Amino acid sequence: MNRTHLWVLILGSLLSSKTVEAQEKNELKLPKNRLQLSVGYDHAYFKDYNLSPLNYKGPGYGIDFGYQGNTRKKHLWKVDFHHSSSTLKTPASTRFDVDRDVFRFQLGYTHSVPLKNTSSHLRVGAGYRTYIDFQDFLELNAISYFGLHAFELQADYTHQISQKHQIETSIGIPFYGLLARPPYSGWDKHMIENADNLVLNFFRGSWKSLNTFQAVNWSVDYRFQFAKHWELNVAYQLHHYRTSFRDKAVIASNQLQLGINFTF
Amino acid sequence: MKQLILLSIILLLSVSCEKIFLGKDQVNDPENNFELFWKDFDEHYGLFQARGFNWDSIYSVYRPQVTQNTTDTELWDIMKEMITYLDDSHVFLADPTPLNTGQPVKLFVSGSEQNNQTEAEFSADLVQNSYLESSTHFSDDAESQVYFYGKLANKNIGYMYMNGMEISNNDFMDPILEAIGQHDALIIDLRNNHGGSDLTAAAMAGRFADGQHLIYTVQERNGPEQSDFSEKIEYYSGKSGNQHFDKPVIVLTDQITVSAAEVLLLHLNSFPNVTQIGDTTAGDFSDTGMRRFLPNGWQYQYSIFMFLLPDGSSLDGIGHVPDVYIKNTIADISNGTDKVLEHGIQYLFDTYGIE
Repeated sequence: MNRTHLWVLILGSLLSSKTVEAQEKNELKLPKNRLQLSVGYDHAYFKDYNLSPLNYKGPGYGIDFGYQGNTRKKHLWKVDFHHSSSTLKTPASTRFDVDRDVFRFQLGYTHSVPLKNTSSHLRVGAGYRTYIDFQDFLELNAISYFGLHAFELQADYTHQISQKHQIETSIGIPFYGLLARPPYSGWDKHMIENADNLVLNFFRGSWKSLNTFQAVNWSVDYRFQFAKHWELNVAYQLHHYRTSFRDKAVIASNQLQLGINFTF
Repeated sequence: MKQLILLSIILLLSVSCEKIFLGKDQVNDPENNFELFWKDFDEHYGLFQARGFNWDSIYSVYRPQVTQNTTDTELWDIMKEMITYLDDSHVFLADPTPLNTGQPVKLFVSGSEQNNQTEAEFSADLVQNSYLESSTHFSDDAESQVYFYGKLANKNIGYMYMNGMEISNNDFMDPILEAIGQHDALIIDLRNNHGGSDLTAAAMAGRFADGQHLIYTVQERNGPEQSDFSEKIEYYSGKSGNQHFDKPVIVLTDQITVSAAEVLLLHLNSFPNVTQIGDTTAGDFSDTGMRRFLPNGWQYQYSIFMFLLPDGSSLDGIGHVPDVYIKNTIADISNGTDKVLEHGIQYLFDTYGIE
């Protein structure tokens, strides 16, 4: 994580501290619909013994589209799509750089849990999330992937800091899903003979649960309403996935996103 | 207070993410590099059983030679000797560091000691200039591909040469057979062929197939024990394409003929009209695994599959033994004579009366 990233997060926290006294006066605003578009910086920490015994890390850039719908009873529907590309590097050699692509698709429904505080709102529920993390060394000289298509528990906590400022934190914990990992030796005949359709392998997996994989998706969104239907959005996201299925793999992605929301 | 906790968590994650999530990185010292290298082969190499290798003995011999004071040159030589033992041209060790100073990659390919000699015992230019009336190039436009076909001068015999087995269009044989399939016999020259795709081999073989036969099975290494393999996948011959050739076929081979070119021979040698002439092939059938990485910046690769004949035996390490053994010398090539090709032509005359 770079310094800019940190300063924005610190600033977000200070903003929410400064306005803490006024919180009770700020009733939570939940628009019926919110469309989100954001771009972001991604910094990943990566280790996958299928690809390499070495630790990798590296920066990348991504784009995110999302929709949130609040019902009259303040239940929340959300859909989100994300793609980022990055280059993973290891201190061992400048010749080991690996291209990495991440695709995420999320569907969720969280049910309103009434709180006494009118400036805050808690929602819990469930959803589905596809997570595909693909690594490629020199045009398929070595590849690996972590595909998880899983049902997950979700929770969202939203807090109105002031009239125009809002912060929301969300967490999603996948608990059961289709886990796609490369075969024991990296390749098999199916992959070699279908090398033009590698994407099929991201869905060629086994149904697994928390005994086999662990994952958490956490985000903090700070929103500033600068016009009647428009918000500025700054978000920090952490996506952490690990498994020991076939080969141990650990992935941690930190993302800082800047975007714009349209509410209606 | 809540904000403080949040800030602390974020700061903690920011500062120490790598250690928290990934743990310590691999140590770059000679002993750890050796251990990673040996263990990776032990847990993934696919031919220990088929070729009767004792990889533990390699550990016993070479591990004591590696200490914290072992130099890069010494470690390179040790690892080179370890994979020389495997005599498998799908296994290599590479140090790409010289690229940083504009030098070529330092590379050692197992089982390749004789390659320079074998390369010099064949000349595609000699064939084109001295034996063919004319030749037509075909390929996927890769610079390394030397693929051509034509008609042998003053003979009713077609000829095609391939130095690899990598063509994306599986129907590439149809126009070739349209051009030279009318001749009484065909010579397929696989000398100096470095292999490629088994799919290309199967597509090519389909133009010569006389029916469906079980040709070979493939299993991939799927566990840490040297006997851990997946279920057998069966591969059959079968007619394919619009053009077929069922007249006499001569296949020319040498010690470089390897991998997918040997898979093509698995098919062709099961057909009664095919005769193999030349030298024994390399005996390296398996597809390679993925590129592997060491903390010292070196890379390597190994075989992960086991190819077996229908009776359960393996040709890995043996190769295809020709029906007629003959090879050129470097002097033959220098003198403008390709004895192997000439022997193929003579065989067609002696056996079938074709000239």
